[in-house]
Amino acid sequence: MLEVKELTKKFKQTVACKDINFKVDDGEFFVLLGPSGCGKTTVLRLIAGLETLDRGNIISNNMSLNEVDTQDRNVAMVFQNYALYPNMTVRKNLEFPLKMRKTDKNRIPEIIEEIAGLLQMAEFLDKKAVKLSGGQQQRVAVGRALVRKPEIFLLDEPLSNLDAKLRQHLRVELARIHKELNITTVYVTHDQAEAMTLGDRILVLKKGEIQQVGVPEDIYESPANLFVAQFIGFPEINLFETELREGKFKIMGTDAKIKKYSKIGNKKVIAAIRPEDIEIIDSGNGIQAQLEIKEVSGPDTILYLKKDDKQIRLRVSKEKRDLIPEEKEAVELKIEPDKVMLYDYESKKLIKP
Amino acid sequence: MKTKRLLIHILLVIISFLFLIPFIWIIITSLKGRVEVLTSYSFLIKQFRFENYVNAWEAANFAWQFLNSMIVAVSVTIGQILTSALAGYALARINFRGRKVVFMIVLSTLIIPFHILIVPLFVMLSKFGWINTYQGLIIPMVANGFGIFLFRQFFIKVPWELEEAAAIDGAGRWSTLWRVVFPQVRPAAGTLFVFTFVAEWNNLFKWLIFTNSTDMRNVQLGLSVFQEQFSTNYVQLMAAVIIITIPTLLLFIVGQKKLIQGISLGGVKG
Repeated sequence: MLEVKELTKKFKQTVACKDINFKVDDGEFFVLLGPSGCGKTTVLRLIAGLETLDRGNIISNNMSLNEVDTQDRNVAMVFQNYALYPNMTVRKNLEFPLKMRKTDKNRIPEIIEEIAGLLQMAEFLDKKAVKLSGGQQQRVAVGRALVRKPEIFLLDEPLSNLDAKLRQHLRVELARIHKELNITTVYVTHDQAEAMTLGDRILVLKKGEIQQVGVPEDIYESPANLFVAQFIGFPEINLFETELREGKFKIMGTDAKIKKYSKIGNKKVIAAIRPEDIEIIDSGNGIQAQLEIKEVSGPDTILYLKKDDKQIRLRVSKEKRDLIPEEKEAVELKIEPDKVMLYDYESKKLIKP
Repeated sequence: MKTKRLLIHILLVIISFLFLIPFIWIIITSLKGRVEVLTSYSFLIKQFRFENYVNAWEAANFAWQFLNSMIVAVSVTIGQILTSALAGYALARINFRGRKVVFMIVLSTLIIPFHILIVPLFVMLSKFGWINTYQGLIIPMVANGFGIFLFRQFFIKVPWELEEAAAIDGAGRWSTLWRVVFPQVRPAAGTLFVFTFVAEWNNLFKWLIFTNSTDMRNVQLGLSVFQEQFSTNYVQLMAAVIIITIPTLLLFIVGQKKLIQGISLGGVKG
């Protein structure tokens, strides 16, 4: 088990991460998610020992790693740009961590065969690492990290240098490998789709501070604050400033009521609703809005509407596609109040009934 | 475009020919007879005398001098590459107190001509009893500011991730340097090898001052045999010159690519 306590690191005046606490269970796939510059890579580098921490504790298997040098931590890492040894062949790259850790020489070829099989690298084992394509280099980087069966496997945006199709393919591949080897993994990404599909749990980070930790469903369905709500999900969640009075509030010009909120005192709130939770209807008594742009995105269609000079985003599934009018025409909408989440106007935090 | 290229090529051929004339003249002279050299300025040779080479080799005890030159040049070259790589790496990558000052000192040694150092060096070597010894000829030369500077410039450009990856893979500083980082700066090593070897091979001054026994001569000093009291044996001298140019010539042919790479890469980034 990997445990991180009060991890804090400053670079001169900038705080890279502050009071980061989390635990990763054995075999768990843990994702650090956040926009660029949020400190997620710093956290990863601190775990690897590539940076020295200002304060805090990194504990692996009940042993503090703080005073352990990088080369003596049983941690492996895949770098964003792979950092393969350019002067060596793929085989030599894979052998390097084994040789450095004094693995029995007679066993090395067998281990290499195994990892090459797992990552389908057999056909380019004897090529120079620099001569490979991006996807192949990525495989080698993963292979080099996994070849010595580390206790902790760190990945720093490993898919971000690849094209979309390859990225998707390798994402599935990574999930498969993780299932097979079951190594405790910490994965850094700014891509919410990667985080959602790969992560057992996700930690959302902003400006070096934890926003939320949870399973992907929780992160999506009840974001702890507005930052998480807006960062996760495409298109972006719809937000409306409104006033909560005895469980009632106004949204898009209509009254709505949520029973569970009735005990909360009157206050200014922000109502948030996911684009797929706004329905498009044709009953004649719904909320009126105007369709500005529609984008077909596979089975779903993304609609950008205008209502009282405010943009409203919708995700319409295939079944309801027939109800979508032409651009610039009127649309009729319906909201299910139970799907609305309320956030405190001041603290931007989710109001829990 | 085509005519422009053609003109440039013609110009280049003419210039290279001008540079080649002295070499051609040396070869021609080395194949003429002693009298013919002094009486004819012709590029044509009346009678080829290849025996000049054999005579030159024997007259100057060349085999021994070749060995001396080789031992010193190779030792100094390898020594310089080792010290330059280590010092350059430290100056490029290890954050220690006074790094900038040390680097400035290293750089400032580049502006001190060797001739200024010769007297204090001679005094030191004679106190050590190192006059007429290989170590006296080798050890003062094994560290050099230029080499350190060259390696530092190359090391600075090696991506940090490579070293970090090596650390994560379990490599200590020493294996990281020699197995991962050093292979990335081979052009620097190649350049330094050619520069240092040629400079050492052609060195006359150092040998003139630090040695006085006939056993401790190098090939350059060996050429003085052909300077007799009243005349110079030009044919054998030129034959000897050709013989001793061969190693450096070979080195240039082999190392040409690396040399150009090294100079252009190392020079661009300041």
